Amino acid sequence: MSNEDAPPVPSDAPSVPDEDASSVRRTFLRVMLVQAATMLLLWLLQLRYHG
Amino acid sequence: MHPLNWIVVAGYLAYVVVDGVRRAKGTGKIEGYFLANRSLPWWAVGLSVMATQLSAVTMIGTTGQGATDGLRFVQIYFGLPLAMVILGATLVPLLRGAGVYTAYEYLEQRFGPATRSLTAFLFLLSRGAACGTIIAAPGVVFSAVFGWPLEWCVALIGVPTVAYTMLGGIQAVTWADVKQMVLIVAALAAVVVVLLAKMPVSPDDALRLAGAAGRLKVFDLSFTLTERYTLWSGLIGGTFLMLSYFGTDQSQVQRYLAAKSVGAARTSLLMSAYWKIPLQALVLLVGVLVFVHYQFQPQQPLLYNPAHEEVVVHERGTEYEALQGRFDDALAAREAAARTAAAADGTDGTQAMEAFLAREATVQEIRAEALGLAEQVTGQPSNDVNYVIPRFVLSELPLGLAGLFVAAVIAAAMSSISSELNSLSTTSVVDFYRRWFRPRADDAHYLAVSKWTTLFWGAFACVVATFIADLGSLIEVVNRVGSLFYGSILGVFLLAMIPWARGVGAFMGLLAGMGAVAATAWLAPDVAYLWHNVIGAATVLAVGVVLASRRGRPTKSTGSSG
Repeated sequence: MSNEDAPPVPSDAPSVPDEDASSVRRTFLRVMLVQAATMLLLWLLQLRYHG
Repeated sequence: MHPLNWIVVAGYLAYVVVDGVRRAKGTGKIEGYFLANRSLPWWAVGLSVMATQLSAVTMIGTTGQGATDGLRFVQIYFGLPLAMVILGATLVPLLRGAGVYTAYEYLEQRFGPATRSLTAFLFLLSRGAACGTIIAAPGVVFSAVFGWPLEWCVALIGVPTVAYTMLGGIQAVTWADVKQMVLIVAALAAVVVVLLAKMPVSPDDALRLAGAAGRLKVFDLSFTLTERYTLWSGLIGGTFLMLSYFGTDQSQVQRYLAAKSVGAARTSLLMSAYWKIPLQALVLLVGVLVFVHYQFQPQQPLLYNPAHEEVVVHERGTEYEALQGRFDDALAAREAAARTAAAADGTDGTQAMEAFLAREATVQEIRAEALGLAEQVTGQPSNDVNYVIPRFVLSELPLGLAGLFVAAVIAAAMSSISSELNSLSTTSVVDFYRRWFRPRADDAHYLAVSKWTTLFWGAFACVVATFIADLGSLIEVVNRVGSLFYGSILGVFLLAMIPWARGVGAFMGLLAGMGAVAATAWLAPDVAYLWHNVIGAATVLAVGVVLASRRGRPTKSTGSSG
């Protein structure tokens, strides 16, 4: 069977609307901030006690 | 183990099965059985996602790794938060909007049936075998620690899991995961409290000893492809691994397809983004504290694997007894040095710490000799990292808490196995049985087939578990083979987001991606496996884009399918 027989992508296939894009940006910033804080804590732990 | 501990374990197992059967309500149609009628709240999905990824290997192996190698393993999760955000913004709305049961079903909409069937087949192949290893890992440890036949241990974990997964579908799996996650975190926290309470030195001194012994080194900044855990392999390779696992593995995708809405699905993924790194750090910290605990224990086992210990004592008793004598002396010397180092500060502190490290090195040398002896006698790899925590739990934890920890290990195994079984059944039925054999049967028929396929995969996993345990290194082979696919399958999903990508490009790209990873694994075996995900995904993308470009980009009016 040929892969070229694939039906077209549904016309209502979801896209990322503008308000969603800003929400994703905000979420991204929040997650990165929390990750930076977690990594900072781990780094301080290493700095204080390792070697 | 004390009968009270067994009562805790038995009570937990009975509760999970009974609750799973109770959750079977509302799963009379396959939408309910496979996707819980897309009705699950974000927090239940989020906990289920985390519980699925946290297996018994994490509870036993990762804690053991913390004791022997420290915290640096946590770097593998540094790519996870970014991966979760990317998936929440891209794949989650895409798959939810497509109204599919499986991730691979979407690939048929996009690239055709061949790509769907191949990716679904690869999932069944790798996850079916991996499910066996998930049961085998705790089964082997329980068998050695409790002295039971391996088949019983596999059945102890496998039978109740298959029962509630088969009867209750994803509803039972998800709600059991929620309780199991709570149990796991509670058990880990309780062990940390007990360890700190029993520690003869202050937490600060305990951490100083652990740090001096290299157990608190988290970050490795060296950029080398052959070092398994570095900051860069975690951030780059880890991101690709997590994108592959959470974005294309049906056992994870099915969680967020079952969420109430796109928003609920995204939020459930973000729960992992926020909590996974601290949770893994906690798991490793348990191991680190066990390491410190043994610095003050004259009863530290020379060999943690009791089965190996028994065989070595039987076969080479005199030799082992001599080693044990030297080991006892070394432990006493190390304990004295640890107490001195913990009490000293300034220049005296530095010298005392050096003396402690010299004693610790002697202990490790004698352990290495004992492990070598065990390897000679048994003919099996004698790395006993997976036995450190079980031995500690059974000999050192107070009554009841040991049972709670064993129940948590079983819970961790069950939460992973149930999700795998449910997703293996979904893929078997939706991507193969319904797609190729019976496309127009009623729901009752598909539901019955789904239950039987769950039973089939459960039995398959249990059989694989008993064989894999005997074959030892096959577990590593299964993991290596699985890592051949992950990055390449991710590449296909990434390709699906490029509008002009086509089916032929995706299919050929998938084959080329797996070939590239296999060639890397064969010709450059030192390259750490996290980079395989990057190589696989990049190759699929490159081949897919080149093949699409050669055929020319379709205009918007002609659609974007392959």
